[in-house]
Amino acid sequence: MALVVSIAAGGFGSLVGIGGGLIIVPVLTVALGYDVKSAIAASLIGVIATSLSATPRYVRSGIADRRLGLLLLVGATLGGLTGGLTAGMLDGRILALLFGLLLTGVAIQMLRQIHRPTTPPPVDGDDMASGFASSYLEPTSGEVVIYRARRLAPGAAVSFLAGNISGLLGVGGGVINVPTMNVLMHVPIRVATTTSTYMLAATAAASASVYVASGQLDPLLAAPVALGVIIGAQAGAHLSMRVSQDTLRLAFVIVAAVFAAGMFSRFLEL
Amino acid sequence: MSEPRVRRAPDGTLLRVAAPRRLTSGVLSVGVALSAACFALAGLAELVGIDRREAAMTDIGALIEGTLALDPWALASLGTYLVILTPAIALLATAWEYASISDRRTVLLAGAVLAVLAVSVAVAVFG
Repeated sequence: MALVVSIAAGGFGSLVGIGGGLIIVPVLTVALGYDVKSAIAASLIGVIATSLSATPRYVRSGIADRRLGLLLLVGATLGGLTGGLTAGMLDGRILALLFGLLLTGVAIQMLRQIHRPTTPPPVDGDDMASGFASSYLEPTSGEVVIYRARRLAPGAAVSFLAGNISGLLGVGGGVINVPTMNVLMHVPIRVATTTSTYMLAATAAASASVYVASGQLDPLLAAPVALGVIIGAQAGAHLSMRVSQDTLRLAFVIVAAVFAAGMFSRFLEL
Repeated sequence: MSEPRVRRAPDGTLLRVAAPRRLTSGVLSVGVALSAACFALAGLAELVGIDRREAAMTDIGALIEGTLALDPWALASLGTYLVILTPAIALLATAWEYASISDRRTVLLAGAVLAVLAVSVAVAVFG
């Protein structure tokens, strides 16, 4: 059952561009009755597996900015480690409440993005040899896009927060990393999404080791989750070209509202 | 190591020379393929009814013994360890690739991330 649910969650997560964790944790908890901490630990393995399966393509094409990703990863992995440690100290009901709040926040963000065009990538014509400047070949136009990442210190601070939420709640952190890189740091959206995917594996690995040592990671649950998410994410990537992004966002808002209600009821022990 | 190498674009803009990418992407691809194979084998072993022992994941002796006996728990644990270790190995590969173009700052950043991962393992085991 966990395999089937993870295929669906991975596919849906890939369709709306949020990764599977935001769906897997509430499904395992609310629908299948797993303990919140076991669901979070299994989801983290799914997050790493998703990142590992997508990243080779992004690295080979040169679109994922590894230099920027590594800078942000210093804070993100520290955040992942502290998130994993904090989760061990918190009651499962508190984690359910925090997850419900995160789902609500992401759903509101998605709702606001409906009918709104993506921010155009900023272009900088300065000398690109120094600092966190880079370029990539835009696959849709065939043009070389040059950009320079700005506001590195605030970006690194927000990455710590994203890593912390990832380790605490078993989600990828892309819902924070992507807008941070795109809006705050002026990185083109295509680079932001691929670099975020590149970062997810190491971020989640930092907290996953804490879950392994504390005995909260059940490999027999993690295995179908990871395998399911990999299969689902591949299928979702193919399907995403055929479905309107606004329809997908609306579907996510509805699903997130249902699961947020489930997590809140878990907190209230209804 | 010297400063990173640069090249000039046709319009005169200076661009940083890109680091090689094949080793990192290869490590990631092999890691995900091996871990997926372990997970799939664990599922098959469970389907055909091979007994599972379910020790703690930190019991490496039981893990090795169970893997050789095609125990579903051990195969799933091995896959999980491979998933967790692959990003660290990929970071080593990335550091190597950036070292090959003399980009000292990026090598240091990769080293810093590896250090945090090492601390997380140490905290998990001894903490």
